[in-house]
Amino acid sequence: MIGGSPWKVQKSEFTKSGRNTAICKMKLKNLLNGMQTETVYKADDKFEMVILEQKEVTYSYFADPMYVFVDTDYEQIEIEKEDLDNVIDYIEDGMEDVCNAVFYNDKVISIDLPNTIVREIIYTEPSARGDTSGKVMKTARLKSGKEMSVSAFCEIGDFVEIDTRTGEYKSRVKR
Amino acid sequence: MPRKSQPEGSAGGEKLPRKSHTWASNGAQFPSTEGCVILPAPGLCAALRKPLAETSGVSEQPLHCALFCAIVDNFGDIGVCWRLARQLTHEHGVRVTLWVDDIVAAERFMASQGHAKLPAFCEGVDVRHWPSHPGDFAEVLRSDLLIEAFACHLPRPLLDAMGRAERLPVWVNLEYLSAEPWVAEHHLLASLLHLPGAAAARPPARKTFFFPGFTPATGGLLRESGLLQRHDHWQRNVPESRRQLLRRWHPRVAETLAPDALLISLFSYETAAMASWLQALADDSVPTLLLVSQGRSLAGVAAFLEQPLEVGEVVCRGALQVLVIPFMAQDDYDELLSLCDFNCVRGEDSFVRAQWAARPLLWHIYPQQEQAHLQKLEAFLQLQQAQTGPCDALQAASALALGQFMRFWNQGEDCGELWHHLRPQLSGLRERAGKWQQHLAEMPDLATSLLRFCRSQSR
Repeated sequence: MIGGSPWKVQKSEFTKSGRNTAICKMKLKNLLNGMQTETVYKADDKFEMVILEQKEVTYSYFADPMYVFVDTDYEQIEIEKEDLDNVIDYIEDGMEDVCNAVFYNDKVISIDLPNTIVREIIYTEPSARGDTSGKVMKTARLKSGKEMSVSAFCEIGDFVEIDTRTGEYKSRVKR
Repeated sequence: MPRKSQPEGSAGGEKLPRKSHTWASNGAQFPSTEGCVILPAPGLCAALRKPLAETSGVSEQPLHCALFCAIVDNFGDIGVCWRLARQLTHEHGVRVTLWVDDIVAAERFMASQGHAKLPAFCEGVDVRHWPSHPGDFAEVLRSDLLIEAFACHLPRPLLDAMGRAERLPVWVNLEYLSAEPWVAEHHLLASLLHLPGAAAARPPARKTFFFPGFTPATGGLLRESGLLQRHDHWQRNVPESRRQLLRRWHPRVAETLAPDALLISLFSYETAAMASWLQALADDSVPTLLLVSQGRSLAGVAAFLEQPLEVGEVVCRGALQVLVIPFMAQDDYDELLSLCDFNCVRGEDSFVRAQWAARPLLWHIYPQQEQAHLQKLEAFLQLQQAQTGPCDALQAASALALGQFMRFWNQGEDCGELWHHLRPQLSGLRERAGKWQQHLAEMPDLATSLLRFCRSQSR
């Protein structure tokens, strides 16, 4: 909590400065207005932690301009595209991932995907013969339209595991 | 404690009888005194007489700067702060209050700079103890620029007052010097802080991290106007300048110094490497006069010589002659660095000053946990190598030898063989040090960069 607003640490980088002091560079996002900023702090700076309410939700449907999720009590939770950040890249009709809806003052401010999700490749170029090591990468497109790098041996219709924290391909999975 | 409100003298300055003295050329008046005052240095006198715009290029209105310094273990922090405070005052017409957390330690340092008891106005800088009452806080809050040096922690009551204040000065954390690449990425980033005592909904206070450095993407290095010209002056006739310098400490040493003798200054921390280096100097075919500053180097030298050492004492071992010199005023130290063939320096302030002297140097970097300092040393060596441009094989070999010597020294390893290899290459390394100095001088200095930043934030 800084200056009356809750902020989310999106990325942090710790560096040793002089005489055993350390500093931490952080990318922060204001959870109320979505503003992002790059900041730096002394390692011993202290903050008031924000306790946010969280609920398990699953994606239901898109009612322009809102994305609708439902919780375990079948209550609907609506959220705008701007608040979905990079989650929007993985939103697909029929997705079954159990997500976390984050609330501040009873208002949903973000949706977090599980760290690992599985998505189908809907298009990729055929791979060259012999590329089976997994080290050679190529571009593939998901149903949501997101393009990402996958192993060269992946084909159209394959399912792949994705790390949602980094957006990176992890492995091909059998279904 | 009553405050002594008069400008104090500085070693090696120019005495002028006057009834009152205006330190800042923009007309900002500082308390006056009857009789003599001593101006800081000839170069600074000229700067004082120039119109402000000419001297700084950035100043428009007189600024007030509150500079906070915590004295931790040596005089490195206060040394940098004092240098910055003087430059802001003399060259940019800034009214500087230097707040120190340990007035007794600060007094010891200021005494070495030719100033008496604190608190006092010293060369136009108001040097005072950490603010402790509402009047002090109000004064800090009226300033245009608040600098906390080297990530020192501001007193909690002051932070409370800042939390309640309607307006805050431009707030800067002046960080440590490093050549590491991340410095440029962190320079001018800010902390957003909720100050104690501030209303919950108040927008966060902004504290900007200001990094000194060696590239244009950083805040640069402290460099007073006229510094390089002073080095040129000292180095115009080195034998004569050396004689004059040495006479201050030991006239006999000054007169008997061999023409081919190496002059080396030593201002380092303790290291196990020292004994091997001293032995190499003693065994060398070329005589060396080693000028050892009072302080942490002295114990290592005394252990090698197997006798206690006092200021002014001269001891010989083989080709090595050791002279113990006192802790000196900053301007005098610049002269010493300028006239030595090789300077062993430490920490931050003397390290920077040795680079302006354009002489080969050994950097004894402040030891850090997990050997973090060795990464910083490597970063400096790599940056210097990259920035000094193309060189022939001989120059490259010399630079490598010096780098290796620094690594061994900082890791406490035997440096004897390395010194025998390095010593014949000092003249080539001097040329390289000159190139490095010129490269650094092309960048804006730290004080100017700080003020530019302050002005940009004030608009």
